[in-house]
Amino acid sequence: MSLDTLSAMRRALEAGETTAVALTEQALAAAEAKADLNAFLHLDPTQARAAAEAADARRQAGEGTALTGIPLAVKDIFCSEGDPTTAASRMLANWRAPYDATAVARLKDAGAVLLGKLNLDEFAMGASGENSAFGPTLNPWDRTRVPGGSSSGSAAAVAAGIVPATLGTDTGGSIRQPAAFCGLTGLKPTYGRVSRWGMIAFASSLDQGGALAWSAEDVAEVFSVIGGHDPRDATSAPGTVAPAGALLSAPVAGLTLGVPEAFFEAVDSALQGPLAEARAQFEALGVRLKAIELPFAGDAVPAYYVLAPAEASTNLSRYDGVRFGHRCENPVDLDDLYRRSRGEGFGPEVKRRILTGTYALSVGYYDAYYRQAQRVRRRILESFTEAFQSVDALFLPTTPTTAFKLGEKRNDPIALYEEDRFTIPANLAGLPALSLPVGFSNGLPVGGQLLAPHFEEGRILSLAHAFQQVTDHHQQRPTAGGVA
Amino acid sequence: MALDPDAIRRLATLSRLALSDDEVAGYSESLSDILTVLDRLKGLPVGDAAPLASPLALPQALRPDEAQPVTHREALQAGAPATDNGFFLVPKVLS
Repeated sequence: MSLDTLSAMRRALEAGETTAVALTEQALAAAEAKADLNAFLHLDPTQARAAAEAADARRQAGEGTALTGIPLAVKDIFCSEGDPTTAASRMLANWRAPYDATAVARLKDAGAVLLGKLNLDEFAMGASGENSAFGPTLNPWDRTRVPGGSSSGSAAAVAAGIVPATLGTDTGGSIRQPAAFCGLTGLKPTYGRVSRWGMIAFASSLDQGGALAWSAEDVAEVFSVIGGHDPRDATSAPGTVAPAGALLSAPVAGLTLGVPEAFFEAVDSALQGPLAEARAQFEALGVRLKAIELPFAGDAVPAYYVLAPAEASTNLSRYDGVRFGHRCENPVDLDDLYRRSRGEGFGPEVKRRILTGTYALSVGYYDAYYRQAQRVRRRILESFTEAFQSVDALFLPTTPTTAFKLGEKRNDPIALYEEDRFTIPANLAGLPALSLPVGFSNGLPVGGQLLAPHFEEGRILSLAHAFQQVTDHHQQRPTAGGVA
Repeated sequence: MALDPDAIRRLATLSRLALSDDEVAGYSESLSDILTVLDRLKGLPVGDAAPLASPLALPQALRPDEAQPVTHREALQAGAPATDNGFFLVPKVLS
């Protein structure tokens, strides 16, 4: 059996049982063999092989880190120097990043082997992976279903066994929802924990980079490398992130886990069983469950779909056909250049969000929508702060359903927006949140979500790690043909 | 509240987005639907809650006022549609 987890690869590298070159060849071959998933937008075998050889030399010199020689890949919203960086948009189809994002630079410094860039919903706007200008990504568990989004390729590439971990970004659930749909563990750290330098902006007060992998152990390894203060990001939180071992080893027996019952009642009946078993499993680990209420968290969807598009409409004004990206043919004047370059370069959902954001920010509507959404955001943060007075962390569903069919919600933006209802509250409040596999329903993975107070990533990683020591959901794999 | 095609055209002008008539019709429908979701905000009992722009109340991070190496102009302009001698080229603005 081929090695498909980061920790197994690391152990094999440390024991001299394999090499970075061998692991990289295995990953490149898997990427080629599973090209039908459309997980990668750009694969760079030459660069990967060179990095693998350097990693082997570094390990031989006794200077390796946990990630040295591990093949990884990043969502194509992270800049990587000299590489195509498209955000899955026609707007940036021919653009190459002139520098590395901080998260990418830290992976490279650690000796990770970067295979290439992963597919996503255009500018991270979507919950299915279908909004990519370069075609949808398929779910390795069932190729007729979506892998979730917006970090669609990041989830599919791990679930398909191509790479053991990936970077994604999460503005409203874009790491956790695809992790849930693909049977993975995905961490959205506290807002500001992972630098946004070189991460193409969608909604700057919500965007946060993080990692997807099979287990909490592997997610912690990546997070400990990419996290920590970066002076180049003015919103970067101070302080460093603990080593992975420390992030995983907090005692969990005796912790109190808040369970907002209203969220559990709102999920599809097919998910009820695995979620109930997960709750019982936490109790068996010595965790006390406590029913709680989260006032205003149920109103997160409308607040988010005002705030995120408002920020997006502002951030995306930089795509003007002048400094980078697509430019229309033969513009008659500057205004024509702006309008047609943007009209041609952006896809349907991106335009929809720019229009929505422009509406929410326009004179006469600003107070009713934007200002009101910011007030709701305050109440949501307060309701979490209140909850954390009496509980150490929260457990709730990640998604209302398992992975849905490709095309099923393609023309129904509201149905897709509602997909995010359990994940959005953590983004609005800036909390660390993690999705972990808690079981299966009709052969499809079911995810559960852990939330903690700001900067307490270690608490939810430890809870997930303890859960994964006594369960095997994270060890299940899709079969070659699809559903296991 | 419904957004008719003229309202969509006004938003498109503000957003500097060229839209076809079909797109205008489509967005008129979908944005009207979205507004019914966003309108759930109205009437929520938020009381005197102060607007929250960013989730973390952190002090502004400052760094030493020292010159740092920056990405070269040539590298940044390599991705621009049209440049000349360090300038970005645009259609004539003054007649």
